[in-house]
Amino acid sequence: MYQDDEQKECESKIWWDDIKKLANGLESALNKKGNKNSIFVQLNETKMDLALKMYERSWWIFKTFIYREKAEKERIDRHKIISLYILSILAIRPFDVRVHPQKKEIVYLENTDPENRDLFLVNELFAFRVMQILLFAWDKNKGKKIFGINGNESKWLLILLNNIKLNLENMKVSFISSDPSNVISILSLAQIVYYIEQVYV
Amino acid sequence: MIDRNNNLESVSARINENGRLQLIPENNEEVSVVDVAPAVKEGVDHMIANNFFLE
Repeated sequence: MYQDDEQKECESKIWWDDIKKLANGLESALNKKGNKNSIFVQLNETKMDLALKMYERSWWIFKTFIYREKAEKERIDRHKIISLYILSILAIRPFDVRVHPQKKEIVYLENTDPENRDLFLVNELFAFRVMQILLFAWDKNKGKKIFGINGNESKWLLILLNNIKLNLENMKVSFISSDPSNVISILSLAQIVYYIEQVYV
Repeated sequence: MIDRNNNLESVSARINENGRLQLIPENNEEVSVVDVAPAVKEGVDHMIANNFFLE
């Protein structure tokens, strides 16, 4: 297999401050919404940086896998870029869910409350929002609002992202490699992003 | 090969040494990540302003 270990810088670094701003905004919004007396989310900025670095490493590995010696010149499409961002976020999990120790019993009861569900799924929700924004950014019909996804599909997408996150957690990956299982994840998610774009954008 | 837009020959492919089909797209993304950077910023600002569409 062709290998090029010389990491190149990704151009999408130009968005990284915006993605961090989004993460900070999501942290504030969720903590206003949830029951902050017992549960809250906390953005870990070191892990946020790590997730973005993981994207860059994975992007380069995936490009060399696809294009080999032409990797530096060729580009991958937006669906695969979004797929790699989602996987990097879910692998690193930049948000922590914090529970006040004396309130643990209350939190277990509140776990089924939709108000608190978003807090427990904060990393999945963040990956979801990044996908929406990047599809919006590539939308050629500017001036439209950011698209929404209907309730049932949105629920199943979050369930999928949750399972991907748990799977990556078990694998303890430091980057999304060109191993077959990772390639399946990248391509499957890229196809889903493509179909979401076809339906909603 | 047929690509997503049913264009013949815009996508080529090879079978590598492990028997895996690898696509070699010839029609790269026309709009680059740099081109969409202002829209990413706009999207982030919009989402924050609208409280992330939390229900």
